[in-house]
Amino acid sequence: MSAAAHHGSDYHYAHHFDSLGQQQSTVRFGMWLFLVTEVLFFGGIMSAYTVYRTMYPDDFEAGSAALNPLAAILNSFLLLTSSLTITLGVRAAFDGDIAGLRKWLMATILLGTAFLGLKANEYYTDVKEGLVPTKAEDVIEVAKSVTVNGHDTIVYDKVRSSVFARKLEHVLKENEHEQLFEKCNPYRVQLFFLFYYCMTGLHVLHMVIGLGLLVWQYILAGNGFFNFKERYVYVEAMSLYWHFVDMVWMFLLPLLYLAGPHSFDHLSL
Amino acid sequence: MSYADPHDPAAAAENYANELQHPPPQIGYLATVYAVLVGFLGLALIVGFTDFGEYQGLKVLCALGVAGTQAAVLALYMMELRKADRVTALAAGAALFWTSILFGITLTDYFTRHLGAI
Repeated sequence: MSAAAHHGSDYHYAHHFDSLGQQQSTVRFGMWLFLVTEVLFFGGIMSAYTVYRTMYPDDFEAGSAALNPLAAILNSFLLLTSSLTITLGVRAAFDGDIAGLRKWLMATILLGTAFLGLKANEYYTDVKEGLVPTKAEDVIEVAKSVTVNGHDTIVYDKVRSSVFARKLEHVLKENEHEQLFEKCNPYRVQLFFLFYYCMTGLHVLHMVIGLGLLVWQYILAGNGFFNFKERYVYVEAMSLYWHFVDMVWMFLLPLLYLAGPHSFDHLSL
Repeated sequence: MSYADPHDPAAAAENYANELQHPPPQIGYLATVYAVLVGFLGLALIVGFTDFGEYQGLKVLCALGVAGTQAAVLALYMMELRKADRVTALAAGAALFWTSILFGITLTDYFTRHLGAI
């Protein structure tokens, strides 16, 4: 806020606004305008996903079946709860309850951090299982029955084999979805994982930025910035961004994690 | 929303009073919205874990329908879009409009390629 702030009743607003109401509306509108660009940002990659999923449904189903959705389900719950806590923070700021604001901001930060922790664990498991797109190939020996001098014998042919395909086959067998491996082309399943890492990665990037802003507001709250009640609108603008990040996740869950068949028996972290 | 003389303290106070007409929601209201959102998450999981057999396309539509409704509840009731002024509502509408063009034109291309060159 400008130093040359005007006074509307007992409340301050910047000199280029006619009233506090106009300033508050502009803050909200500015964030909504930014969110419009964000919708189109995520819309681009989701439309590309839609095209390829329509072209290769079996391959995307196999890729999704290789993922473990438990972490994603827990993360959905964490994000929904953080949407509640940030909104409670807005209410506390509006009521001039600075201790309450700091409490709810911290709760949101902790929930967001827990989300990222689960996500990091999920990425670690995916990499450990070899579910990462790669061109790497190994030479493996494939047994073949041949007849030599009238006797049946086994010989081993050396053939090139995709590392990713073997890892995918192993994970799908563990999840009791071998039939999906028979139907899919592992090279196309790598396309699913490309989308998986890009879409969740962009979402994680937004989460990290959001957490940074939340920490900033937490510090500001401690420094007395929100002692001016009308400044609750900045917490509200922050909450709009945070809700949007939650909204993106609502679509990532069915598009990536629940696209293939899953059973409760194979859920684990 | 119209703005009166900025130098008139009475008008400024009235504008602030207008601002106070839409305070952030109360805890009970937020808890209800949260419960509805968690309910939709449960519904999304039921759809996700149900075997639709040959009707995978229907599963996708159901899952996206649940996600879309959940997002709409979040936007309208937690982001308070239903109380937004006209220009904000226009911005949210523009997001849907341009996204529909993005999807519409992209998918029209890919879904009609099999019809052959004209």
